[in-house]
Amino acid sequence: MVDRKALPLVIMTGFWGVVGIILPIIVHFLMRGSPNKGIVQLMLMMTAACCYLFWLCAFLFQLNPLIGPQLDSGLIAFIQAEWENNPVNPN
Amino acid sequence: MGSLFRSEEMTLCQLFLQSEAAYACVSELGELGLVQFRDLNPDVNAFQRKFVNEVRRCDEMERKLRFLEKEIKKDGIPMLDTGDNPDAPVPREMIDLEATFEKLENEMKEVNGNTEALKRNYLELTELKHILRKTQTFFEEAEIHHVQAMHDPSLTEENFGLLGEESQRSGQALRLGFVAGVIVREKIPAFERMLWRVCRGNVFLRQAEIDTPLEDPVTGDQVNKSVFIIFFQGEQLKSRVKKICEGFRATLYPCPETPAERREMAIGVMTRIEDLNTVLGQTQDHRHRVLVAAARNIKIWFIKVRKIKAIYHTLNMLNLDVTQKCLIAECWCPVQDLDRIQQALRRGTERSGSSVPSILNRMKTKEVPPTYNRNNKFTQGFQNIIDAYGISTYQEVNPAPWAIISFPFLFAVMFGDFGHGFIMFLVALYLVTREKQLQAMKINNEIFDMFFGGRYIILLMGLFSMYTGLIYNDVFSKSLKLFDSSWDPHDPQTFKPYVADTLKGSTSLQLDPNASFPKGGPYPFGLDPVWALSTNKITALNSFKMKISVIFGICQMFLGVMLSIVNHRFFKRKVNIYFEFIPQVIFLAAIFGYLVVEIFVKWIIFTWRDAGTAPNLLIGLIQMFLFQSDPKNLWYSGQVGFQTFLVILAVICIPWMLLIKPFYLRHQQKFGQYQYQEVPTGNLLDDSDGEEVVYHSDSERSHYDPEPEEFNFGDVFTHQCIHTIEYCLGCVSHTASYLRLWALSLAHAQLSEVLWNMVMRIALQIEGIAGAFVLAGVFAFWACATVIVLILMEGLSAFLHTLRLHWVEFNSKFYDGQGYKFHPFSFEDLSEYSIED
Repeated sequence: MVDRKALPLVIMTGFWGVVGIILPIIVHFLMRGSPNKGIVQLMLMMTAACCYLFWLCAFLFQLNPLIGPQLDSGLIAFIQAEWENNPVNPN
Repeated sequence: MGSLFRSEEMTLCQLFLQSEAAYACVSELGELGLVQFRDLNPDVNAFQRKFVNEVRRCDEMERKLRFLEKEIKKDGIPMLDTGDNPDAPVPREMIDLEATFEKLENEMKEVNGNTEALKRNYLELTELKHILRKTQTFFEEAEIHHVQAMHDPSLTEENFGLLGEESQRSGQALRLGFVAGVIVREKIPAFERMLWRVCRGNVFLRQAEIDTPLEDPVTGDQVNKSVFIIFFQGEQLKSRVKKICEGFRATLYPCPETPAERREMAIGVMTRIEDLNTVLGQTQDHRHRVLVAAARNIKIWFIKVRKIKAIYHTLNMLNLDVTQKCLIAECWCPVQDLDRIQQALRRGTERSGSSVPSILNRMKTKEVPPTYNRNNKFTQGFQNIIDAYGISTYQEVNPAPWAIISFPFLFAVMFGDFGHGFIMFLVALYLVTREKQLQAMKINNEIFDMFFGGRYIILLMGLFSMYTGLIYNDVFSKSLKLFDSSWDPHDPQTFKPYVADTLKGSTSLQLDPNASFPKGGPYPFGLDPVWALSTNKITALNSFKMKISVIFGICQMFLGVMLSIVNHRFFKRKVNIYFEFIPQVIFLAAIFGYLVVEIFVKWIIFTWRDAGTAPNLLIGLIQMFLFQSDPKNLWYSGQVGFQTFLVILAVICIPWMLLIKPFYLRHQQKFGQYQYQEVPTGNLLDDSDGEEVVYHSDSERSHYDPEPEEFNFGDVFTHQCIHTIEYCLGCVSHTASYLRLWALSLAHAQLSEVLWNMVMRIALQIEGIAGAFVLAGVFAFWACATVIVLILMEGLSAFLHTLRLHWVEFNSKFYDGQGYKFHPFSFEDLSEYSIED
């Protein structure tokens, strides 16, 4: 069963970490003389910060849900038949 | 430092220009576009300035050019716009240009006059031709009637006004006169009536319409006219008829009586018309040729004339130092560009052939320089929306680079739909990739200009909206199922999938996270697609969106406060750091930072097991302020004590912000250490003689008056009071204001869902071939409504709210915005020098 807690966290943190931390450092060396260097670095860092925070909030919100969705009965039957979800631990 | 983070360092310079070189130097500086001249003669009347004659000559030239342009447009000749940017011509060339324009104008006027005269002639001849033709029929009819009358004397009444052949004439006792002419067709009924009344029915009018409309020589309009002929007897009636014709502006023509003479006249008229046509054609050709030759150069001439005018306007602002035979200018310029300006001056001096070099001299001054932000085409849009609120004070932190990302991102939080964001992105992409062509087209529509100017903003807004749309899992109100859903419906009673009996028992069931949420984990990217199908989607997502709004709001406000310390450090205001910045941070962090931490902790710690006992954060916050505590709302030991500590800490910050700084400043002043803190002057260098300002006119104090003021305790205290209250109340009210992020995102999602359910869904349920046609039509309606309502209207609304969030909630934490914009003398925008506006 694919780990749905750690894996997305690692991947997303890694991705936005590269965009927000590693890339600006690379840009620092690539764009040494350019007057736009500061702007590019700032844009990368802020994009990474905003987008990562947004994803993180959505992730954490659904991590431990306190309530569940209310579905029509017919829909429940359909979902049970058609959707192949993660297999549940048979408790 | 030439970056966008704060405005450039500016310096006041004095330029000493030799009189001969002045024109060329100013021209070079205009091409460079980096200096802002100050008006050294503000008291002088516009008509008393030194170069007023030259300006007047330029105005004359422009007037002539405009006359030519009008003529060119009238003929529909296209004006060649090569996009060339010719240099400003030297004064000698100006005389040549004036002569050229004078010649062209005179030629055009002559040609126009001639054309008018020729056309008038042509009109007369044409009317005469028609008269001759029509009267032929009149006289022929008269023949017949007369013959009849001769044989039928009882019909003599009708025959009175008739002319006869020569043979008849000798038999007639009465001689009748007639006039023939042409009148505008619409006036005929009134004309007839007037004739009948005035002449008491004793005149006889025949009229016939001219089929082709004739061209009026003056206005060029096509007019319908009619030929008429009036028969009368006696001199009195003749004079009356003539007067009436004059009154109705009918033109009378001499018409010969005999048919032979008429035929001769007709032939003569025809030949003359032919000749006139030829002459008219040649005149038009000549005019056309002159205009085509002018049209090739007219755009360039316009630019040249405007440049000359601009240079002379600027020269008018300079001061003439009679003893040293040179002109003195004062200007603001960026320190970084001093080299380029020196080079431009050198170029100008060389071009004018003068031997004495021009001198640039930096000056010390206490005046506040203008604010200059060096933008490129990408950042200019964002700078504009910040400047619309207020230009940054000289050298304070510029909010624009931060807004490049925060503005589109907050917009996207409110707009959050992948489909709509994608369309927005495509439109902006078109504007960006075609920007050169679109700029060349010079479209003057204001609304298009607004969208075009903000094309990079719209591009980023579209991109971020796609991202937030994916996280909200909203594509035109439908959800994407990129991964498997995390919710697997299981009966909480049996922990097995629901059986048909249970499902039949009720219309809808709420899934229990204990049973239906696998231990695997949440949906990896964004919101779970199952929420799109649920009926309690709004209730569940409200909590999510509100918390997001508060988190991002507090983050942005915190960023604002952090930017204020950058300002304090740059302007070396230590007082502000200790007595404003630190209590501000503590206040914000103690209350709202704590709230954000609580949100995250609640998300992480509490599971379905605690669904009944999970704390309500909002009530907790309120109770924290009121120093109450509801035991059911507490969730960690020592919470009451810790919260009390935080509130007291925050409350201490208020007098800290309010009282200490004014008293400290007063203490400083008493001991003679007071420096007037408010005016930043970080650029006082002198690398030359450091001459003081000699020709500076004191009457121009449109900007800050930097004389050190006396320390007024009352003022300072009041100011500090306002600042403190604004900050503390602002923290609370702005945090609530950020909830608009939730409100708009909810509205957008609901609008889009309603549009789908009420429009497309109905069409999709129609079966058969008819359904296909109905669907096509309904899709068109759905698409139009999506673009107009959801993208345009909602987009504008979200744009406005984001703008407000930046202007009020973000800027109030650090922005002063009292500067004035650097407006360099440049040839790029010459429209202000045209005489049109």
